[in-house]
Amino acid sequence: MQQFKRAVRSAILYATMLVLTGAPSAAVYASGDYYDAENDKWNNSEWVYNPTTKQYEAAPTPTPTPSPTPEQPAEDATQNPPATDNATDSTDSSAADSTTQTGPASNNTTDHDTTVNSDTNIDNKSTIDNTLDSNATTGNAGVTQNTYGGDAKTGDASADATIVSSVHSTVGTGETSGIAHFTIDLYGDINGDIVVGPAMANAEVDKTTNINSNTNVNNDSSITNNINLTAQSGNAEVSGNTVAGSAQSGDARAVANLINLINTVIAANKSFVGTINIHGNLNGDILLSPEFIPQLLASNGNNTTESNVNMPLATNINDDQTIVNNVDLQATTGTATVKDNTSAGSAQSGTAQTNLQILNLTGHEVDAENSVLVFVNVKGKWVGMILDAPGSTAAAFGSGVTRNDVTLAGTSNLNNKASITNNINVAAISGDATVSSNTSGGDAKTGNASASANIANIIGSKFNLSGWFAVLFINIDGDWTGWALKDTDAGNKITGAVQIASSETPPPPVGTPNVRLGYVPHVSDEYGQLVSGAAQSGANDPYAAAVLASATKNTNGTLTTPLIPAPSPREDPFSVILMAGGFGVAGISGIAWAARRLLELRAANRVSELAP
Amino acid sequence: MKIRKTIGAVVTSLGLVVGLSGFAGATTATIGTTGPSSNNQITSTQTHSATLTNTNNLGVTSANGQAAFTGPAATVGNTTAGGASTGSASNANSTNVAASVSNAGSSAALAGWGAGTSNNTASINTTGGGSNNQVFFNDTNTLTVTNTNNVGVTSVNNQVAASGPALVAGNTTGGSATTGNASNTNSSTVTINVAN
Repeated sequence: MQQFKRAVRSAILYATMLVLTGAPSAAVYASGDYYDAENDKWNNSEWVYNPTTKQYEAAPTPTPTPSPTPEQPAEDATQNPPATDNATDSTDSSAADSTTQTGPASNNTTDHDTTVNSDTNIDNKSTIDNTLDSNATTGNAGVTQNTYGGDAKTGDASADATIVSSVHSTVGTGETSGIAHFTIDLYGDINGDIVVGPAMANAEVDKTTNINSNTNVNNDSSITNNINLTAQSGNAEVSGNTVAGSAQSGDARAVANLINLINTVIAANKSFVGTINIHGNLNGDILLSPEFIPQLLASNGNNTTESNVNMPLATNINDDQTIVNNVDLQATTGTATVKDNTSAGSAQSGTAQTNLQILNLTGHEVDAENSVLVFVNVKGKWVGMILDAPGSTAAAFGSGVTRNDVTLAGTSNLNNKASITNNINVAAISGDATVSSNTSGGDAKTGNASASANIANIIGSKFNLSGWFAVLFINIDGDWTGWALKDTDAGNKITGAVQIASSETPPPPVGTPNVRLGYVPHVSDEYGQLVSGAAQSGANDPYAAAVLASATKNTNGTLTTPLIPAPSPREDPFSVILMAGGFGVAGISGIAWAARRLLELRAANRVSELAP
Repeated sequence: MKIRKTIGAVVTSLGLVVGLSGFAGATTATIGTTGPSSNNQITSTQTHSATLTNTNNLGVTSANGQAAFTGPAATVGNTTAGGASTGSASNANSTNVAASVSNAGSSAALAGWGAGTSNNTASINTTGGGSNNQVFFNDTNTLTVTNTNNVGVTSVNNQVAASGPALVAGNTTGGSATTGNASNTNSSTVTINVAN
């Protein structure tokens, strides 16, 4: 037993020694060392035995290890023997690969398969809902049950709305993108040309957006305008008076201007939408500033080219375009009544007029320098026309037009569903005027009523304009003698005329037009101002002329709100007559009373003298 | 009363560009100095899948209410009186509402994806004769972009302008009755821009 244990210990000891002595060698061998039989030394990749120095030295820089059994010298792939089969199929330009120095009869294959699966689904649903309820009403005026009464007159009522709706549309390019817009209200009669020159060097409006041009694009765009405008002047009544004046109701005026743009590109350097409301008569032309175009060209050296416009005009387009205009215009003048008076004047009702201008453009492509959409509403008589559009009250035209054709196209698998619905109710109602049951009464006259709507619906159109694009609404309450966008003999244009204008606060700094009116001075007043031809109706009335002049420009040269002066009692002839009559009656009564008193005293004295 | 209002809402998806750039993969492989009749193969398979979903629900509501009233004027029961005049009432509103959605990152990602995003490098050299040397790059990039843009702009404007009544009644001597003007002016610009 003891021998057996001793034998086991010896075996373990020998085994341990064998491991300790054999493992390093195995490890070296495993790490790539090799035996130098000539020198009877072990070398590795880092250290090599030098028989000269009889020391281990650092191994030289590694060189390509010779093939263990190279049967042929290595060659570059480009120099492969004819038997070599090299195939390359690469679609990935970013991959770099090389198969070089392969032996003959090698089969070298490089295969790049790059698969890009792109699935783009874009659903755009854009909706604009505009709801506007505007109600302008003037109160009633009554002069009743007076011994002596004056006039009854109600004010004017007006409601104006200008709405621009744009969906997926581009107006302008680069820094000049967007639409500048302005509204000008001019009161009174005007004799002279109106020159509009948009100074829009810093148009702030909205940025450009390209329409989707990828596959499977569904654009569902809709614009809904619910516009309700009502302008109603109050009733005027003169009744039950012994002596009274006239009854006159004011004018009622309602105008709706709408521009709807869907999937439309207007590549223009400058664009503006302007509304000019003239509350009176105009004798003159409405022109664009002559320096306007050079100014724009100077500030916009680059001419827009078609290549700069990213518009999905290709194939396989499905357009579903719907334009619905539900427009209800109502203009009603009140009833003028003169009845049951002993003595009275006449009864006259005002004019009632509705005017609807609709311009629908779908799928138009226009290449031109400039383009203008003009809408003209003249309540009275218009002697003139739009340049290049004789006989029309709404027109789209341009200068330098090189092409104007209709194109219905789009990008592949592009579904455009665009709808515009305009529900517009515009009502203008002037009040009644009644002169009744008076011993002596004046006239009964009702105001004018006008309801207008100007609508431009533009879908899927493209305007390539190197110059400018403009939409101009011209609304004139009275008569107009003159042309639009052409200088004629109408009016008197005075170079360097002062700038005056509008009733409202000065238009926004962006898009502010230069409105200059040429005037024919005919009255000088105590303000020392140029009293303009706008006061024609009161040309012989310095008071009215002065008030109107101060309404357009005060002594400081700033714009002010127009005034509609109410006659001062001192200026009212009727009041003066009453006042003078009163004093006269009072004087006569006093004299009669004094004379009577004197006679009574004398009579009393005589009676006392005759008494016994 | 005059009101000028400007409302703008902008949604921009830019982070997608950064996200997609991280998908670029690279494979580097080298086989060298093999014996004759060797079978040398480098196979790289990269599969990239990306799903971009931009859902933009943008709603802008602009509500404007304006009311201008002038009071009544009456001259009643006087022996001697002047006129009765009421003032003018006017409202002016200028509203500019703009809603913009831009998924710019999606477009940029699409461009880079289509051109291939992998940078693969393989090298087989110094092989013996009769070797079979093959390099396979299989890159599959799958990009799914879904942009759903719901943009709605609601603009509501209510304007009421009313001048008061004027009455001259029951006077021995009275003046005129005149009511003021009433006017409403509204100018609105609503713009929706969507870029994908």
